[in-house]
Amino acid sequence: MKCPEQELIEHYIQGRLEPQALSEFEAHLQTCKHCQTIVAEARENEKLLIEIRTFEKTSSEPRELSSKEIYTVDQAQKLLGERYRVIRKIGEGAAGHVFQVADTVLDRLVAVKFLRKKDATKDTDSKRWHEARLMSQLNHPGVAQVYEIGEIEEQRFIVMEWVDGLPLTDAWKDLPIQQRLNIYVNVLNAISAAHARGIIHRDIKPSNILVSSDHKPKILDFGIGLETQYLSGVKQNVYRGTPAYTAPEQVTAPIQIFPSTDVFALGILLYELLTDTLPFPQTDHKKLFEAIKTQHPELPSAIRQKVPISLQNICLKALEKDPQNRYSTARDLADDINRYLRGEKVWSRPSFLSDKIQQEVFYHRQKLKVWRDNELLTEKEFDRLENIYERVISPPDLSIIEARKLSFSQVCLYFGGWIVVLGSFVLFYKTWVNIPPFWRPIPALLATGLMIILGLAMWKRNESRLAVGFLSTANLLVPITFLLTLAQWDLLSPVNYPWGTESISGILEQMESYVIVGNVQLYFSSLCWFAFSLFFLHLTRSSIFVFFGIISFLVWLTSCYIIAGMIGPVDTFNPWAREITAGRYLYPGIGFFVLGVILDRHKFIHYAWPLCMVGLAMIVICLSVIAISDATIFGWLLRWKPGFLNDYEIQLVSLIFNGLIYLGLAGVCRSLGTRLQRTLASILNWLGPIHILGTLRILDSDGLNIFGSHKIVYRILLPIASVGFVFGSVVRQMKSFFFSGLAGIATAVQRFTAEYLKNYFAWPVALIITGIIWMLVSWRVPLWRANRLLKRAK
Amino acid sequence: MTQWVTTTQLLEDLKTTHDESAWTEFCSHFQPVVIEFAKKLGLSNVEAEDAAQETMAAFFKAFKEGKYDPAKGRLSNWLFGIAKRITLNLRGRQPLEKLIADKATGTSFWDMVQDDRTIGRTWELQWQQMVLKKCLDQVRQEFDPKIFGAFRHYAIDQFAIEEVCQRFDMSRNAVYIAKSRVLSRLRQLRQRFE
Repeated sequence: MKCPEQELIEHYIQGRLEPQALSEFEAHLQTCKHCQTIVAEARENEKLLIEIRTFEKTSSEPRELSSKEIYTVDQAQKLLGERYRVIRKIGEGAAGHVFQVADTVLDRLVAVKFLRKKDATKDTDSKRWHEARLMSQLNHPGVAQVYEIGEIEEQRFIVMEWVDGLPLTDAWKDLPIQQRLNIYVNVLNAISAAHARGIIHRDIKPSNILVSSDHKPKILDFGIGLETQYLSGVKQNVYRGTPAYTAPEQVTAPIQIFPSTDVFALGILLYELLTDTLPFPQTDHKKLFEAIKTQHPELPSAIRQKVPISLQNICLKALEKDPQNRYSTARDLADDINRYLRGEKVWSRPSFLSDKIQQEVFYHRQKLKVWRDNELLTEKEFDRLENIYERVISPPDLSIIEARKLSFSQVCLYFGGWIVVLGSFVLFYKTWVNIPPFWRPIPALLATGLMIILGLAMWKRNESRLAVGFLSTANLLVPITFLLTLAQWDLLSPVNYPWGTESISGILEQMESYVIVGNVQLYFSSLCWFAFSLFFLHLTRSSIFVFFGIISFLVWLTSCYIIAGMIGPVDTFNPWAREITAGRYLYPGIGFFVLGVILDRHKFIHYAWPLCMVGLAMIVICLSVIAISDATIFGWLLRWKPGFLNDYEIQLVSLIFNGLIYLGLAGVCRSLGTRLQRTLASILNWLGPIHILGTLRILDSDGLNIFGSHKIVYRILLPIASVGFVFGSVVRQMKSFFFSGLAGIATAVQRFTAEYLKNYFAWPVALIITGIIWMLVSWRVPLWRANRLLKRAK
Repeated sequence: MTQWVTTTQLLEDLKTTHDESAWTEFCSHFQPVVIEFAKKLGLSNVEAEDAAQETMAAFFKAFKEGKYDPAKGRLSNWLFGIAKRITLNLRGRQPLEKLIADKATGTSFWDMVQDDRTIGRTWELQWQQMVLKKCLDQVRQEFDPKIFGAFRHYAIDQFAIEEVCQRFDMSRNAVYIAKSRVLSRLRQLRQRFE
């Protein structure tokens, strides 16, 4: 045999010779020195070639060779066998090498990831299949699916869904912000699903999120993902992740990982979405980590002018340095993005902004105090500015602000709620003879239950605006539904209880209703209403439930009074009748007021002001009713000499006493010193003089059969009191005193003119001259005083 | 394209010529190896360059003082000793969180480099890669583009033999011969380089 061609040698080296040819070749080789040399060289060449191939394939990311790992298409194919046809290698991740593979049986493309070997023998099965387990647990359309796991020749691999798409930032390169946001929200949903199952991805970056041509993103590579239950096992000093998408806590020893660690990476993606740049563009790792830990990124709106401020705020909140200040999970972040997409107001503020505001406001407030002390600001202006600053630095609860805002959607919500309440009320007061009693309250019961469930669900999902809407509707439905159910199902009915006098049946009868409602039923319904109000208040901390609470408490109190027989029987039920002792409501009113004052002093101003306002209103109304009813508390004071004062006089003099009480109360409020109390004081400062001067004027009018001598006393008291108020206003700059005093003087002048001086021309002239003299005196007197002081000084 | 030189020649030049060119030539060969090595050990680009410069300077000083004797060991080993000392020293000065390696894959530095043996292997790989790259550049210059192209397509990129024959209009045997010749020359060059 002559020396073979190179082709034969090549096939021999690669072990591809047929048995016949092989034996012939080997026989020749034993005799031919030349061929032996060539084959030896060829073997050497082949070794070199493997080295070259390895370096070529990994030239950008050179890696050490390891016989344990699967690097090439050939190696992968050899392992996977016939079912899978390996097409190409698509990359290397933190945990292994990934190939695109055709599954010839199921006729689909899959991705196969060969895992790197790390102490495989020590690990339990669940640890070894960590990534596959995390991904299959998720089963979310936004996360690539795991089809199969396998192990051949100690080489583990995961067969996964093949995702044909571009990395996130490439995919949205030419899209407008709105479309980018749609993709981004889908990413958030997938990560939220992971967070909901207690899984933290830890390596969120554009190349781990592939976006298909129909803009559906898929999350890949849970290779370094973590389950929150194993968080304590995180090695304290091992950094894992991608530097540019690293959260501060990942590079601050001891390393801590939270779901909000993912939120930080998502914040970086949002920043890229808005600006097409990285918030921390440093390429040098040292500088990059320093920036991540200490620097605030440039504002997106400074890079792109059209960036919506709401989105900017959301983005900066996601990029907070302190995980506590960030959105705690991807769900919270998604909620705010959805809020933005729905056109609602987003209230999130990055903490550094509010820190800055707090600082500025602190200095401003210090200045305000100085200005007030230097009388550059009046007390009132100071209060008003303080009020505004207070709102700026500690805005009330989001739910309150959102629920108070009459946006279109909010008005729709309340409108719907009101219709439900009205529907239930119609159900309540009409008699539905065609429907069996059992079914009559069912719609209202279902509506109430639905409102409560929806409200609680919304609250859990942080949709506080909707939650307050649903819960306040539920709160209005509770008493109606309770009364309706108790009445129709004949529970706690008046017949069974001796003290169950029907109280509101009278009112219902006037509304052409034949539902019989007893006081006991009213008692329990209002008690439930009160309980629900307190529960909703406890849950939402929205002051609307303080109002509901007060009203329900008053209804409950009324039912107590009726049951106790302290308020008149049904047929004469009239809240303004004199038999009703308004004093019974005076004490709860005082109670509300005092409670409000206490809460106010403990900075619970949101709860304090409704309590104080309602308390004050009840005090004023009750004192007024007491004054005009027979059984007044002043009655016995003034009836010390029977017949000295007639009936009307007693009532009116009582009102003057009320005015004095209000002035005293105003003094108390003012001395308490908070802003709310100062507001109450200014209201009382109007009520006091109006009660006193107005009543004095009425006492002097004709037709009240008051003794002439008494009338003269009142007639003289009016101008004296008025002048007293006018000059009393000097002390505390009280405009209420000043203006009501002026009005009092005007009525006194009118009264004197009509009574005594209508024919004397000198009277108006005297008034004019007196006025001029007063003005001159007020002009000159200070000058004289000043001169005298100067002279004394000399 | 740089001229083909061997390490012996580079060192010889360094010894005999006293201008900057020999030094620049020397650095252009070995500095990239140190940079890549330092990066693999977790230094940033800038720091890796610093490390490489420092290594070169330290080597130059030792060389001028006549401390390096080619008979005692490879240039590679000598440089490795210096590069390792300087890089680890630089790395030791860094905070913990900086000790990461691979930006693209997020692989932890600690996963890769754990002991002296691994560090040595990392260096060896960088060195081999540099040498292979130089040799490949050289054979590309030496051979006919058709021959080199056939070699590259068939041997490195693993195209099917029929495709390579068609593209370069060569017989199968010619392609196999091209592969064999280029590889033999590569081996020769590599041996000579060190």
